[in-house]
Amino acid sequence: MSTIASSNPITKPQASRPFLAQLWDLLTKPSDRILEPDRRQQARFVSGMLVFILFAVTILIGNALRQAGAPGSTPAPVLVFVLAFLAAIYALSRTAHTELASILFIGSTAVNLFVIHLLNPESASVLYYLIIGVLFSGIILSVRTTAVLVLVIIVGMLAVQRLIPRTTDISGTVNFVAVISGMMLIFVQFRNTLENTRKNQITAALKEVETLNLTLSKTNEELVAASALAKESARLKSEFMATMSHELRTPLNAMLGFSGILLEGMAGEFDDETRHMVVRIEQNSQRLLTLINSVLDIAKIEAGRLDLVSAPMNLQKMVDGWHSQMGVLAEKKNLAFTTEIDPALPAQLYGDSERISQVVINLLSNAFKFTESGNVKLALKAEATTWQIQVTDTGIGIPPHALNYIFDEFRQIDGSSKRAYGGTGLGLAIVRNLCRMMEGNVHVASKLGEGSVFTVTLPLKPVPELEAELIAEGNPQ
Amino acid sequence: MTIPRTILEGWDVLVVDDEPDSLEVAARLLRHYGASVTTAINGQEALDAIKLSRPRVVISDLSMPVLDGWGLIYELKLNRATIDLPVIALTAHAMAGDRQRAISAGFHNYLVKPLTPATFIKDLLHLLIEIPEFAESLKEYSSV
Repeated sequence: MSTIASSNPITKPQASRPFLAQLWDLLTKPSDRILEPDRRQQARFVSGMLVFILFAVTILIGNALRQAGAPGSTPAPVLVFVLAFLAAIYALSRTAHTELASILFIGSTAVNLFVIHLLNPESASVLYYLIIGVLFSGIILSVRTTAVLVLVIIVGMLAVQRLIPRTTDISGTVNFVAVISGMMLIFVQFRNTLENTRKNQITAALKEVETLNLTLSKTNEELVAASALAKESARLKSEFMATMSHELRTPLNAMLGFSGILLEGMAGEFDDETRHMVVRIEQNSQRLLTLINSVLDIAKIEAGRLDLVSAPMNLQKMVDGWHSQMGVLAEKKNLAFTTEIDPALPAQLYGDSERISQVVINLLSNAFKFTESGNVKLALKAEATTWQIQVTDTGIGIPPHALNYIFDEFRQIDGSSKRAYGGTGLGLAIVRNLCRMMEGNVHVASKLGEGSVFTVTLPLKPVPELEAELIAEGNPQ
Repeated sequence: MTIPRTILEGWDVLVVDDEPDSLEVAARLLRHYGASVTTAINGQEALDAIKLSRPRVVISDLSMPVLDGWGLIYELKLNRATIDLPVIALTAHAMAGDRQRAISAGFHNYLVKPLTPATFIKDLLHLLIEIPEFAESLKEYSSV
């Protein structure tokens, strides 16, 4: 009954609880001085049982009044006394003294039942009710107390059987009470064991959670410390980069500035031989500047300071830009320079056009540098989830052993090619670093004397059509 | 497009840099185009020079001893008499975000070293022409 009542609020709002359920709650509400949820449930159980028994006894009184004087019936005044006594115990059960109320109830019930039996020794049935006491004790009191109670009841019944000669044979009742009590004891013990196991598990789990929390907060502290250290080292690294950049550029400023002033004729004229040497100073200074910028690029990439943007890029426009920028070189060396865009590619893709241009210009510069005759081809290709930029040349090619380290920093194929072709040895390292930063990669295939193919693979991020249209409308050119 | 050698004639320009070589390169380039150039080797000297003769524009390095470029712009913006004096930063720092930092500090804009004759004067004129009071006198250049 109480479970039905207590399950009600889940299905129905509190206000619309049925009257009976509300009455039941009111009648069995435990004292506010009992705080533990387990003990409150016990108190509710005791009060609930007593309410039920009071109700039953009242009906019994009604019956007794109707059949007053009938043989075998319990006299009404006795029942009224019992009713009053039970009511007192019920009142006690509503205070904080649940256990006292239970003991009083169990004791008085046992005494009552024996008295009723002795008043009417022909009937054995009333002694069946002794099991109520056992039930109560099993739920409210300890297993040991209940076992003692069972013993007392059975001994009591046997004594009644032995000592009162007029009594009927109550051995069946004794058997019944013994068997049910035994089962009750086993059940209660079983339930207690289960509960203890559960409590132990909860305690263990709580302990584990506590240990975990401790470990976590420790790990957290370590992480915070590590991240502070990493931040500090990143800060020092960028500070160093900034200082290096400044310190290296300052003398270059003087070199480029003065050689420029001389070459512009701002400090008067001088002969061709001198001019030629000043040009060499100027060119080497320029080369040093390019080298410094490349090293800074690598350092920035490695320090994670190079921020990538992701914006819609128009592929045709980019290809046109590269073609016009590199076309001069093609003309100079009399090479054919063709570009090609796979029609399967969307017109616009998301990406960092500046960084992609840096990659492509680097690859095209290499292609033109190492190709003396034939052609250089730039092709954009679509794949399933990626797109490719392919730079193909008919140049000197790369020896197989060099393919392994061609993307490493400061590696050129050999000293002689360095002398013949110049360059910093950083171009391809920057290309690979940039490609990886853009979640892509770069590969090379080459045959010595026939040419090379560099393939850049980047993730395909098409611009949704609607957005592409809006962009096109915004930039009518 | 050649820039006339008289484009900065009549301009008083103060160049501030602790590196004598950088200072001389900038001064020579400016003088080549007709400017009359005074120099200072740190922010404090620059403040003294500005008090003596008010230049039309200041071109200043950022990292300097005694008083650096940041300190110089702070002092100039603090003084009612110099708050409108255009100051262009000139630095070998080329890290991302430096330009924005310079502009928020009060510099009109920012030129990156190394200076080369081919680009310096063009870049400088580009910056000067943005300043309304100079736009008129540099019309000659903007029409080129």
